Amino acid sequence: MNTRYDAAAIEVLTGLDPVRKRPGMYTDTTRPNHLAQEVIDNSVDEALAGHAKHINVTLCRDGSLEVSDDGRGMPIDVHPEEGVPGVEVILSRLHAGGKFSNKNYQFSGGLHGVGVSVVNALSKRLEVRVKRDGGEYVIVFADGEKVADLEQVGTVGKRNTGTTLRFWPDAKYFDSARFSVPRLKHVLRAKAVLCPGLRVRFFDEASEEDVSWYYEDGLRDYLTTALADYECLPEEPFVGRMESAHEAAEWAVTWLPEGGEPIGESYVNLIPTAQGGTHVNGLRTGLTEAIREFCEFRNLLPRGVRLTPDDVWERISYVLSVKLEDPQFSGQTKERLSSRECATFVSGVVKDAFSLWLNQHVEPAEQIVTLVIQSAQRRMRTSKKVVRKRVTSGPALPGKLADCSSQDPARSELFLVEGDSAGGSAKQARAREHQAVMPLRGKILNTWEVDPAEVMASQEVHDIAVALGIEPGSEDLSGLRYGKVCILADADPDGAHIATLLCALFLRHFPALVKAGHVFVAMPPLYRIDVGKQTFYALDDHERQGVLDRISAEKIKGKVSITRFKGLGEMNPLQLRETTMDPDTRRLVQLVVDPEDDTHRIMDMLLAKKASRDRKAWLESKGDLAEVLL
Amino acid sequence: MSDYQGLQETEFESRPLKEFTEKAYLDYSMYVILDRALPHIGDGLKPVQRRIVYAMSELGLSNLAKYKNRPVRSATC
Repeated sequence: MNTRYDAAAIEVLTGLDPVRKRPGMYTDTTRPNHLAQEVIDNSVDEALAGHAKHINVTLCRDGSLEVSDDGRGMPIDVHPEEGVPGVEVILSRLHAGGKFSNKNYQFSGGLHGVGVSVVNALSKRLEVRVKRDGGEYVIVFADGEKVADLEQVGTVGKRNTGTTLRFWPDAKYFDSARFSVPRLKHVLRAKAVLCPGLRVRFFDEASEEDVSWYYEDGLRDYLTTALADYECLPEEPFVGRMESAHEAAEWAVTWLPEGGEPIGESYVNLIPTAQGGTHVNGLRTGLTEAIREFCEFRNLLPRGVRLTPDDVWERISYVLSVKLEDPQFSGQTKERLSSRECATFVSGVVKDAFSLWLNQHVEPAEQIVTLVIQSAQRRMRTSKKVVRKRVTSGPALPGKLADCSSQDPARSELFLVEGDSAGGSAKQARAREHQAVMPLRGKILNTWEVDPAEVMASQEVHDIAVALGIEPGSEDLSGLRYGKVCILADADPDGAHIATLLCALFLRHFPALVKAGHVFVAMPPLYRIDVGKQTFYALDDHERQGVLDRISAEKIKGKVSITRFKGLGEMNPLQLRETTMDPDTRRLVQLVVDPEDDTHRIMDMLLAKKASRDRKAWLESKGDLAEVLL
Repeated sequence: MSDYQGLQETEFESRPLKEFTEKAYLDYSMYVILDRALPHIGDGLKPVQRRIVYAMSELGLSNLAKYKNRPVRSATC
């Protein structure tokens, strides 16, 4: 090989090159619909901010797409740093946009600021017409490069503003260069639904199809028309909305008792989130809590039946639209919301609104409860069939283990608790039926470099292995006695250390357990927030903010006081159950390993005797990232 | 089994083990370095030692005290 690897060989991708090099990282390359969505989202953001009332989308005969709105128009004045007009910056620089600060757009979908420049990069040609400040301006790009400077082509009335963007997607970046019309229409319709008062029009030149959408009464109309063929319970969906300074949520919910094709759609700032996320979880928790409370008030639950969120969720149809100031998504295709505070906000407001609704509409409410109880009973019948292996031979279970009474390994859980005192609280807090508790005294041995044959010599490790029912180093999980092994340690430095040591033990000596996803960490809350007589818990700073937002949105009266937990010992058993152990209200994180990744290398660096040099370098480079725990 | 998968989808979140462990260990290490292992530049005492000295002074165990084998440990907090 004659290629030289020197500084000249290092490529730095500038401008829009990164997009053209790896289009899949920025957009969905099966068809150009995602590009259309980016452009439409830009117009919708203008509508969200209250500047646009109309959006027209035209699919032209030559395969291009034109989107126009009557918003403020993209900025045309010269950008102070880049020295070119604002519209050119928007279209030709990655990570440019007016949406990073909340000044111009309180809620917006295009947060990454890569959106419309990606469209430009992947288009053969792109034209933008801006009407603003009494003039009409045009700028043209081809293959992402500017071919005509921004130029005034006419004059219009001062009030006549807006942006028209037309682009010709480049076929070489896509599996198919044609737009999928049904998908496009679905997106546009959803936008109209979610943004009441916005008129959206779609025109297809080839088939001369002309549709427009306008919903005065958003979500309710949408859900009832979509489910018109099925029997719904309640007939008129349960709808509600709630707004706070930083968040807003709006929903329509109904159940399909006779089955049918359910609708489950969720949106964040009008971006569809196909894979759900924290806002959907919030809705689910909120509805479940309200139903549970209603059952308790009226004594509707048969003996031995417990409702889980899945029972409530089984036949549900819903549309949920959430607006957030600073949404976090996984990936640029934005298909799953990951902002934690959103779950707290949504579940809180939904629970209160739904509780009220249930008590005001007793008859449909009781029908919903019957439906949910039926699902619960069905679930219990099927789950009872699997029986856990009893330990008949071999070593007896360790004395410290407080075992659970259920025999079903799929549902049972083992909590490894730091310290005897917290272990005692956990024993009182658990659901005896399927949660077992084993307290660990102090720190366990660092087993990262201990031979599998010798590891059982440590009493703690021996107890853990016996309780789990599997041999160290064995790939055989058939004896496993619990479906979930949860590490429950204080949220302090020593708790973090114990969690590390346990992770090392599982990864090194029970790798099959980790691979199959049986290892979890329970997240005890850090804050307790009291308002008047109500109490809320927050797992971290983000969630604390979510709770505070909700309190101000609902105008709950009273003095707000926040306390920080220093360890599990400060919580009484009731609080511990509510926040960390009860499956419905706790936060549990599954620890996963990818066999391909460098998990072992990192663990080696952290825990091996010989790696102290590496550890020093690691501390020097990352020490400032540590969070100070109390 | 499909039921169970649905559960997995929403009931808990997942996180790479390496990421969790690295973060936990980093927090622990920095705490130990900053608040446990390094003597204070002012008096050369580690926090543990300072707590003992403080507890002893509260008990009146100065260098003039007659007996020093009082239960210092239980008074240290």
